[in-house]
Amino acid sequence: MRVAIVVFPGSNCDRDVFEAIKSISKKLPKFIWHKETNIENFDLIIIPGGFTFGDYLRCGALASNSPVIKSIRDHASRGGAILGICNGFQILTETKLLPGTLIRNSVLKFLCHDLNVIVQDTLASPFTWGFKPSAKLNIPIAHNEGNYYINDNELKKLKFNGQIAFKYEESFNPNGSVENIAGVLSENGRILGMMPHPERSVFDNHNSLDGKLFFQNLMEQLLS
Amino acid sequence: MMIDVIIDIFPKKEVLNPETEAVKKTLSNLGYKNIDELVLSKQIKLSFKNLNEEDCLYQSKLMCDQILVNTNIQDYEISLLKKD
Repeated sequence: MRVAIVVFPGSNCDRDVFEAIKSISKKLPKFIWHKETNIENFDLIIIPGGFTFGDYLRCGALASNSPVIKSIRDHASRGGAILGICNGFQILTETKLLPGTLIRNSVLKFLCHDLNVIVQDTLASPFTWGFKPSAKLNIPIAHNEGNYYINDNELKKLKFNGQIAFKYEESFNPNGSVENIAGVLSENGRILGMMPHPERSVFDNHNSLDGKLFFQNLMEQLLS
Repeated sequence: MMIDVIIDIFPKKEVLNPETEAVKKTLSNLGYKNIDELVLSKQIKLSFKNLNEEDCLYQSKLMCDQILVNTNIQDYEISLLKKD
């Protein structure tokens, strides 16, 4: 399992993701600096959370024009798996590899919570298959712009295609996202963007181990 | 000759903007009760050199679509100011 972690100026969850993947896969992931243009083949590319380029202009907008993005697009067009977490999700929507946009939390506050996300009934995807639809995963969030917005027409398409991967519980939608959406998949199911941070629920000193379950399932699915 | 281009970027009407609502509510609390609409926009000013008007506008539009504006949630208007 070859895993790459893309690092931009302002990424700040790259080390956490590294430690999570290392402990689960027993192999060392590789850091890829955002200026690299010729990256080797990986089974999974992870764009971690953070505040790339200080969130200037819009979250993820500047990072989505970094040199490494071309290689990430090539990886995507080969059907390669990509996971964007938090700011990584914002970057993937800015590159248009995923539909929709993450806007300011409706409560106008930075939010940091432990919460449950519910796995949805999706199209074939290594990120969700292996879980029962409606399974709950306790994975924390930490964001200021996690309010997923998509227009009605595109939302219909997302639902029809089974591209909604995770939802917040209806009684606890922290950020005002459309239909409580917490994570979405690309049309081929190979790219996932999610606001919750699975790398923060992996070790015994974390509040939950559900992020570990998420990564373990992902690795199994990718290897099968 | 220098040509200035002003790009105004504002949220699409159909996207509920919590920041706008908060500012509007505060103004209302301050006694300004007759505000029907409030738009919080972002302005970008570009000064071009050695380029004609048409190309300034063309390049500005390209920049907007490429990076400056997220057209899922934002609209924009481009206007031109000539300077000698």
